[in-house]
Amino acid sequence: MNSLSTISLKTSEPVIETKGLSAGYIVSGRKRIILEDISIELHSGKLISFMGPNGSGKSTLLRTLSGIQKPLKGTILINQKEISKISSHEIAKSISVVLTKNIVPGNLSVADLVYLGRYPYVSWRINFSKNDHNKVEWAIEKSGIANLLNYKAFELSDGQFQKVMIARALAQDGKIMILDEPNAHLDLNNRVEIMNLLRDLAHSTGKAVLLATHELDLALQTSDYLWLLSKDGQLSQGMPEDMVLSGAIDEVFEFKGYDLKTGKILSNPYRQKINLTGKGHSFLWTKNSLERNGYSIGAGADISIMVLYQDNKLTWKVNFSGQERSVHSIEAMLSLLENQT
Amino acid sequence: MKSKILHQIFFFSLLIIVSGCLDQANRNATLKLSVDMNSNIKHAVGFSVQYFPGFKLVEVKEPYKDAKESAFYLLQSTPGSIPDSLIEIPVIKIPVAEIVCTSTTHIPFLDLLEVTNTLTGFPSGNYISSPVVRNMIENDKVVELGVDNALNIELLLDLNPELVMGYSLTGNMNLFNQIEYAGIPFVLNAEYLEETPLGRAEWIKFVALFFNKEKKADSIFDRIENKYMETLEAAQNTNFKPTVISGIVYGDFWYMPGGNSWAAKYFKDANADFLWKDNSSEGSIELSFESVYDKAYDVEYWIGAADFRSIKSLISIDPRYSQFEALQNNNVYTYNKRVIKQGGNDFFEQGIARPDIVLQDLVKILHPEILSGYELYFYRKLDP
Amino acid sequence: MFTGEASLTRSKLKVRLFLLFPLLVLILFLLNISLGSVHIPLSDLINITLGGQGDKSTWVNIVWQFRIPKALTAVLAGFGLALSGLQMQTLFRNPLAGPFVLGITSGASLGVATLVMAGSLIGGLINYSGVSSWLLVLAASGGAFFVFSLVMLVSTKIKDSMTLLVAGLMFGSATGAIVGIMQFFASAEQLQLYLIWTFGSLGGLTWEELKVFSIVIIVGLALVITLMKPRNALLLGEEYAQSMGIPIKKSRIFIIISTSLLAGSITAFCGPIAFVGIAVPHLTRLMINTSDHKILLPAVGLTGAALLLICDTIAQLPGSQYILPINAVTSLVGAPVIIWIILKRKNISKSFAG
Repeated sequence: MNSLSTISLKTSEPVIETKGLSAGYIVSGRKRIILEDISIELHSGKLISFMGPNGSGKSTLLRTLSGIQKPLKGTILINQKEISKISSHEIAKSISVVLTKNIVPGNLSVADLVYLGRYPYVSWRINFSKNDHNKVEWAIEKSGIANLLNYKAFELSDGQFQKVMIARALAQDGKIMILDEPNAHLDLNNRVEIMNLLRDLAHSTGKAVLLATHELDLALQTSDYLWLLSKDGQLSQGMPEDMVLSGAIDEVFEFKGYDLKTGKILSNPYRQKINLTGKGHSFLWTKNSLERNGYSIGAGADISIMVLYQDNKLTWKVNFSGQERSVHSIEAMLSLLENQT
Repeated sequence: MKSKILHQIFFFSLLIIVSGCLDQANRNATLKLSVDMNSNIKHAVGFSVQYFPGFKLVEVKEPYKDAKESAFYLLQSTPGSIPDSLIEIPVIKIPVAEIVCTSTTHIPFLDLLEVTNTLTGFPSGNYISSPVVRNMIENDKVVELGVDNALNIELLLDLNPELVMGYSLTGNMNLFNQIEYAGIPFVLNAEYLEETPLGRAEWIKFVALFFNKEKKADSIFDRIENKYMETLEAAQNTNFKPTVISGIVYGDFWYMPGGNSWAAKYFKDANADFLWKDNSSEGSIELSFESVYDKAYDVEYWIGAADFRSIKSLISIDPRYSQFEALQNNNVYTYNKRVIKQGGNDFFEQGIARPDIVLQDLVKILHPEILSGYELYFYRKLDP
Repeated sequence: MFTGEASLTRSKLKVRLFLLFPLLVLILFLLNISLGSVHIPLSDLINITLGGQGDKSTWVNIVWQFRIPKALTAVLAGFGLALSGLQMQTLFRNPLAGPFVLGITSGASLGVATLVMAGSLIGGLINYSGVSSWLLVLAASGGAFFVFSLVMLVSTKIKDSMTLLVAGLMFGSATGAIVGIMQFFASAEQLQLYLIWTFGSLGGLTWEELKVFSIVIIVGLALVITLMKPRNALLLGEEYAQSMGIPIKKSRIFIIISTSLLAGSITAFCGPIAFVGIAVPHLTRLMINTSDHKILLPAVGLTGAALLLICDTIAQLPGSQYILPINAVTSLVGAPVIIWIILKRKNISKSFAG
């Protein structure tokens, strides 16, 4: 259970605020507007997942918010200060980033990489103070990469490298962390780990964590808020569950054959109905397997299946036309059904 | 259809190849004449001449460096005098009334033979020192034919001289093929390949062949030769053999004349001890500054310091020159007494034809006790 | 402090850096001045360097007027070339970049070529004995500065560094072409003068020139040192660097300025010296396994000085009165070094970064 008490609901001033923001590029003197008239807020202590179809402009917005790109129109306030009035140096102390496209400086050690996060705070001589060392140590501990310290960058796996990048961004100690699809090349384990890490960071350190991601399932389960960017540049925000129920997400993503509310891919049953009884996970997953294979579940069917524990073994009792057969795996159950129909 | 064309191509190429071979064979056949050295030529080894009624057969043994074959020329004074067997050899009608030369070293021969007025064109005439030619240039009697390496072929064709006297360092005959194609006779002058100063100067007799001035050439050369030998003997008979070096530093290298170079030969004839005579290089050798300094810091004479005018300018380029005693004693000489304002240096022009003057200059410098009353001609002492 | 093991490696590095490297350079320096065409016994050499006399009167001059200025030039030039090479490799993230990718050397060549070959048009500026070395330096610097300005102009107009790399290479090509045309119309003497310049020359500096040269190099080096932070940050790429508060455009400009100053002045005083700038950063990384510029910087500089001293010692052909042009030796030494590194590391881009 997450500690609800630590999540403050929009009581503080926004750390990032935009008013009528237009973001895009200037190509040979002409403005290419990707996003128009965006007015949105980012609050501290929150993990916000930023989602939208490919090419809708997520990266553009993130780059603009973090000061890497210049806004075409409108205002951006960082800690209530206009972004154009703050030097990139000051911005660096407020916002740190983790990007997808990574140039891997192979020869740097993990420690070197994390220390890079402290650059906004050191002079050209790169002399780290005690405070710098402390922050780095803390960042490393928080990101769980203490065992990787002496590795060189090129020896790390993609997942490890991303964690190091997060540690670096953490060491930079800004109020805001912006991540652009940090999970792009990672496997499931890593992705879960990183989402949990980010959520923990937002809640325990009070940082505002904004990340662009494609992973709807993870985002829905971990984020405090969602920002949704539609294909025509409309940005909406809200709590994940609200947006599911209101159909906002469906609208943006235009799912085909996927029911967000149930989280299931819609399937058309083309086979018989089956009367299934049981409980818990075994019931759920048996149901999934049957529906995946075109069966529908309901009462009053010719075939009934009971799933239960018998002699400490998971058993499926398939009963059709009065005959009952027992099998011990879903595969066996399905082939049984196959042979009968 | 295709095969017919292929046949034609094949046959055609075969024809070309065969005719080429025949041509070559013919040439070889005619040129197997054995030619005697004319007993008149004493020092030069690069050319010889045979006299026949109405024409002369001239052979240039090595028309360019490492040439495999000699070049032959027929100098025809009476039309129709050349037998058919010699039909392959290029014919030049003499005496030549309009000549184009390509090297300033050709000019002094023209001057000495008093045929300078036959010069009608020259590439980069700016560099010529001869006052006669300079006058002609100013009066537009000599056409400017190009810039250094690039002789302008069109201007040459327009001028249409009776003879082009050229030279080739590499054997690349491109230019001369073009001239030949245009029907203009040319001859390769290879005087620069001679190994002795007198040998080179004797090419005055070669040039004379084209103007029927052999007798004049002989008497002029005899005078030159006599003076040279006279000076040489006087120098050999002195008591002292002073030490001498030459050359200057470019970048990190001191370019010293080799043991077999022109400078070395002159130094030997002038009875001086050239400190780097013990190597076989015909050109320059590149030495480290410090090794030259170590060996020659107390050399008596430094003769040949490119075209520096003063010791001050030498030192301004590299103050380390001042470590040489020859510099401290003001004993530095070089061959830029006769440099005209357009940049040409008569040493490289007249100096070729007058080795007697060059030797006298050197002996005057090295053995001041002989040749009293003689004034340096090409060489001068560097200003302090 | 968490960096238990890491700090141990770091202090090992520091030992190597502050003791071994300078010691190596010192030893090579002494070796360089003790070997040459003229054989000077070690005892006399030591005596002379301490201010005394040698057995032969010429030896004092040889040591003080010829060898020591040359060795000092080698140290300064080696330092400068290696560090500009390092900067270029970092800025362009390209292991084959060197101090001359911006076309600076080509600019210097253009200046020298113009002086030597077109100088006859100005008449009297040159005699074929050679050009006053100050004039040569000026011409080379002028040419280098000209190309440098073009490069600066381009760099302010473009967003990323890769474009700049291509632009620099193109400038190099263009100036090379112009020099080629000049060579076509030049006389044999002019060609030779220019050719000799391209051989490179470490021994041509007098004490006066050495003073000016060292000042310029020191200024360049100072700039390079102050750019440590941007260079390190750029190892992650320009976007990350910007997010860390590094002003990208300004950093790029100063990197270009410092590189041009170093590469330009070295070319102006010593002619173009090949390979040192490209090979030394790789060689250094092989010996010191880090990309942290705080450590890399002095290491690369010292390695550069060491390498050039070695090359110069070889070029002197000790014992023989002949010498080799320094450029030939640096190329002969440099190319195998790079090949050896590639073989050792099996993948230069993996081990390379910054």
